[in-house]
Amino acid sequence: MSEILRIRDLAIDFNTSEGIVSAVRGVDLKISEGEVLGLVGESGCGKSVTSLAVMGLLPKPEGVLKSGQIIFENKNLTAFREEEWQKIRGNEISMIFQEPMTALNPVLTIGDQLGEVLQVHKGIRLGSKENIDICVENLIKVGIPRPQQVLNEYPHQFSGGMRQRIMIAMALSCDPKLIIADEPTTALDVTIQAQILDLLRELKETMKTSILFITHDLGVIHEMADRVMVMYAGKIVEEGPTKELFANPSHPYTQGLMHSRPGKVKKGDPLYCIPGMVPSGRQQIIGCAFEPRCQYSFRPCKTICPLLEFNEKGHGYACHLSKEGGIANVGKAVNISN
Amino acid sequence: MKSYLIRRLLLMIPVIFGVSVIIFTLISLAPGDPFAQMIEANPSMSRADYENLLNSIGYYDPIPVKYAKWAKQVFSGSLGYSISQKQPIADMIGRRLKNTLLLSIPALVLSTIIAIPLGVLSATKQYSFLDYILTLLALAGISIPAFFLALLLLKYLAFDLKLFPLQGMETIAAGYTGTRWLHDRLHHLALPLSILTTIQVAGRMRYTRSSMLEIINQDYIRTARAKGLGEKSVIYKHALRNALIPVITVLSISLGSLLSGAILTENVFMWPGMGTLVYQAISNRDYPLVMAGTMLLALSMLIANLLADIAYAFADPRIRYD
Repeated sequence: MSEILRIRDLAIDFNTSEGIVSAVRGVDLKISEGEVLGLVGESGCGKSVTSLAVMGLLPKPEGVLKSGQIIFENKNLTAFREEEWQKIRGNEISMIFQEPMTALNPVLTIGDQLGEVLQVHKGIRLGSKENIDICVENLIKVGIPRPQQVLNEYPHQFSGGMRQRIMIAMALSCDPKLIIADEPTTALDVTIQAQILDLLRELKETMKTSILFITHDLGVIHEMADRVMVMYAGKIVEEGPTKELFANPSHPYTQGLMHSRPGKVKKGDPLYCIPGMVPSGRQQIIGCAFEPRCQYSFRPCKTICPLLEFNEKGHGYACHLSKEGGIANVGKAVNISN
Repeated sequence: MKSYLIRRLLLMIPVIFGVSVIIFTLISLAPGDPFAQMIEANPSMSRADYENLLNSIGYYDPIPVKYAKWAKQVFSGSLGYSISQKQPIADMIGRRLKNTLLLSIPALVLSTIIAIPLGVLSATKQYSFLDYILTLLALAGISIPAFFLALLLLKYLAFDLKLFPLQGMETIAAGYTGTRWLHDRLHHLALPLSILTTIQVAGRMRYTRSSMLEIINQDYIRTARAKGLGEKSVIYKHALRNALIPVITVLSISLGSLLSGAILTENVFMWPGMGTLVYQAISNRDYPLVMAGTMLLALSMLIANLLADIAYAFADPRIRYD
């Protein structure tokens, strides 16, 4: 499988009135053609910021790309000018957002909003028969009944689930090579969630598009992703094929997340949660970001940042502890930091 | 929509009645009378004549009786006679109304054309040098009173430099015709129009700016960008359409102040419009004229409010009346 997106050492800062916030602190990521990569982590760990960076949509002027490269099909997006980004956005990379209720423009018809993507990228005039035909076809693909009428209707006439389907249809308009789905089911209720996931899975199979799937829901990621990356405080702490990672969660944070799932708890027992809070982006983190919340924390964790170490199955995690509880990675980390 | 409109129009009737009762009562309670000035100007007038005059206009009648008499006159179609000018009010207002609209409609159009693009510019370039300059100017425009600005312009441009006429709406008794006449009119219009426009631009620009800023941070603007639309399309198609909804409402409501918005400016420039007419009517205690003027203002406010609601339904597909 050829590689479609690669991110190298991505670091993003936000200049806020209260000082600099480091949202992403060095992320490496790779997505192959047709692959679904799941990115999990708690709120505020930098998942969404990473995805916005890939779209070139970091809020300006506060969001600053401090270092790193985003390489999409051998093009270095980080060096792109705004006009070059515009040719990629919605065309080769498209995005599905978290909040379907507010993601559609309330004063424009669905047909207008769907059709304008085709007009911008394919030059198919808005309102032309060809434009309408493609929009109808896309609406059918995402399971929207009476697509002809829908084109003349406004977003407020649809439920959240329907709006998310419309957003997905919009994202599919130009047959993108990569779809970024940023918590696409978080704002929906459970039955609608399942429907949208079914739809995405079906599209993944039929269209062979790569998907970067961002969520904090492990159940969702288990169903959707081929490979999973776990993010914590702006860094990847564990990465591996979905089956392998779910079978052997190795980073204490991943273990904590797995443990926090309600399904594993006996009736009457309290739900498990990882103690403490995600560190604020304003804090300087020298050692392991998870150290203050980690039950296995020991001396080097406070001062040395652990690196991702992969095994032969392509499963890696960034922790000073090896599975046996030894101190396997400490030496290497010291060498590099020197 | 049709039944909604009929309902709204019917509702206006009790509102107008209520407004007329309140205004009428307030004016009748105000101290002074229409002939007080006359007696000062003419000391030879006897006390008895003065009382006779007051009795002839029913000054001593109880308020409900006075109101009934006034209402009868209104329904007879003449809107009554002005006490001070001895003319049918309908004719007087007709002429003055035209003059006021001649001033206030161009001001409304001009200020809107200037204010909306400046507001958008100010919002899209928030915290830029341009934004600060526009904010400063808007602050000045809002806080400097119209009459003061008008006096400044009169002093420097009209009196010192003699670039513009001092007052009125045409050179009296000049008998201009054709383009000379038009030029003369525009020449007289220039100063009051710029004053009115400046004041309106300031407020409307700030309103557009804040509305635009709120919209720019909405999710659907991010969606529009994520589709790969150019910045122009994002701002003018996706953002402006939404940002204008509240602006349209405010604009429709300001239609209601077309008649009353220029009272101070009209008086400074001696512009023979509704503003000067009502102002003089109030100082003369010319009750029928004050009533006619204020009722017209109230009516135009009510209509403007209705227009605002209708415009809202057109601008925002989420609003439907049925």
